[in-house]
Amino acid sequence: MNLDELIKKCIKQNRKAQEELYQEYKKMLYVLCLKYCTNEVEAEDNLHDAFIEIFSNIKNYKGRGSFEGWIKRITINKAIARYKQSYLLTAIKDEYPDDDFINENEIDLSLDTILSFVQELPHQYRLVFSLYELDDYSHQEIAEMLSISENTSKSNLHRAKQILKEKIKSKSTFYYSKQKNGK
Amino acid sequence: MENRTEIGKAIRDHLNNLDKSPNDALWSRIEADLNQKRRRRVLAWLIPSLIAVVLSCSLLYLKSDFQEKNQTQQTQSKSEVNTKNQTLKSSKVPNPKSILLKTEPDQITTVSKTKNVKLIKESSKLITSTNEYEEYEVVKKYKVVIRKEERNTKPIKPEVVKKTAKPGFSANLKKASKGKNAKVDSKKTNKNQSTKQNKGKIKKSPFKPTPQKSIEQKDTLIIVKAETSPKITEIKKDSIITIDSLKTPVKATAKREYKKTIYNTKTNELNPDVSIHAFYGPAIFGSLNGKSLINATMDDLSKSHPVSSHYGVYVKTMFDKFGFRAGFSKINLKITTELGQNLITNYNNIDLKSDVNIKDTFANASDIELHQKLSYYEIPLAFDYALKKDDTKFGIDAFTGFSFLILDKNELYLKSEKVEKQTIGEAKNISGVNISYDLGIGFTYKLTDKIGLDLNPIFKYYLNTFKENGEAKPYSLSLQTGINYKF
Repeated sequence: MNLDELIKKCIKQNRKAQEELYQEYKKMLYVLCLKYCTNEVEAEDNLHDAFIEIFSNIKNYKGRGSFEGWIKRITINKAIARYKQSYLLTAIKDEYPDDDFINENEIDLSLDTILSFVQELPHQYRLVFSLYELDDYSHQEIAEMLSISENTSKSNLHRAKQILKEKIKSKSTFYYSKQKNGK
Repeated sequence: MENRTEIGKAIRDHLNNLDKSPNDALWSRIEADLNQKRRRRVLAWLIPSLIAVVLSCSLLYLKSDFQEKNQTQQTQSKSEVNTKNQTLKSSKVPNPKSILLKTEPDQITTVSKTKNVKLIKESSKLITSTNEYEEYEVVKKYKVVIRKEERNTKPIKPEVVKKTAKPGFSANLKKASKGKNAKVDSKKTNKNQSTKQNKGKIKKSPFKPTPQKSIEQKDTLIIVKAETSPKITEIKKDSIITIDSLKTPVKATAKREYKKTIYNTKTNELNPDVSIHAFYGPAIFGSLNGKSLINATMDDLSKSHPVSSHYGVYVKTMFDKFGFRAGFSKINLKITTELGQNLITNYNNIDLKSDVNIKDTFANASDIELHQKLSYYEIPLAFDYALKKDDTKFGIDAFTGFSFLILDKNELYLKSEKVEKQTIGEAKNISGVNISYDLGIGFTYKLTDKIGLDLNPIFKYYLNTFKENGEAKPYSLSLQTGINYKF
């Protein structure tokens, strides 16, 4: 069944078509949820809420833009709503030193470890980092989505990167020292 | 020289390879919620439709019942009209241009008419037969057209009716009409209705038989049976000796009393008891399964049920033991979740106000409470059954039905020892329109014939509180205390 037929059947609340659509997109959206949520349980809850909303509002999808983009947007909005209370409402008055770089060998860590670093970020930093770095939203778009200023978005992103860098460095130092001691 | 890369890009490249799947049970959860939502959607249409159908049927039933009763009354009135008309004719006060509509002991209304009484159908059935008499049930169907122009006449005493009661005794009645009753009749003659010509005719032949008259006379027999009173007996003794000598009226008298009783009962049923009630009382709100109305993370937290208010007015209409009530009221509902020293961990379903800083406000608090307040405007519709309705002052009735609720206030606020009230926003999952199933019992105490006191405990189960998912089963208990006025 092609996507258009699937969507038409989902509009008619056909349960089989809904399940097929779920199976088609569950991985992509689950990974998306993992980047925006703090753990797997919350990611599943978010995915659940997102699919309910997708099936409830699928009649509103008019075919403008990709369907994948539409369902991703719903999923991200669900995650934003989940953590909305934690926004920093003021910009951090930091200078933004140009040191958001890292040695390539330092980040040679497992995917789960890197994901956990992202998930451990404070909510507002994680949302801005994921939106900007992982899903290509601009600061202007982020500012609108989170009801914050562009400066707040920029400062939150910078702060998120600093935290990630520290975590990665400490982890890789620990890893290399362990390797040295092992030798 | 080491290769350096931008940290965001590096993480993105790594996470692009992430390949994970959600738990297999997740689809079952989604499916269950979709089914629940479908049921709720169907219910949201079904319940109002059912109520509309039930109300329509009830109204139709009551209307048809009214019509039936009116027809019965009309038929009886018609018979009485014929009786009285015949009476007037036999008592030398004939007026072919008038018809008597309503006969009460002390008042008769004469309606000027374009008289058009047409006998459509007649049938008779033998009911009982004894050595002394035979009782027939005569059923007649008339088409009557009456012009609406009323005027009152002087009351006619029962003895006039009595004189015409026995159509078979025209000879005796002729004698009687020449005696005392002739004088009585002349007194009762309406000047507007009688003419010299008419009088003359009646004097010559007061009981001139015609086919229609004979039908009316049969009818008269039934009605006269219905008009039993001590007065009639006395007058009968005075005026119609022949009737007494036949002894048949004695038997007929017992039957008359029976018919008259039925007639009175029907008359009472036609008038519903309508009363207006105003009430104010306490209400408590909760969830039958103890789950949170906000989100599942608060399901296990202890909850309390502050007393709120329920007030409004309703009108109750009772047809004997059955009836219905409808009104307008406001119900305020509150529920408190004890957070202790923890702040809210999951803000799903909470629409936070933008200018609130919860963390700073409740930084060191150890007794934080989350209060949820919902206010609804309510239109209750309920069927009523009187469990106890008698001549005593105390009455009990049971009622059940549905209320349509429109959300007025939806507020979430935090409280602690130090902070009296910090509004944080509202619950996003609460539907703007709700329906509740109501079940209650009403106690009334009559202070006077018109005024009474009410005490109605009511249980409400809310069917459409949430927009989407909601595992909580909200209910409320309220006690309507108030006063009623009976029209």
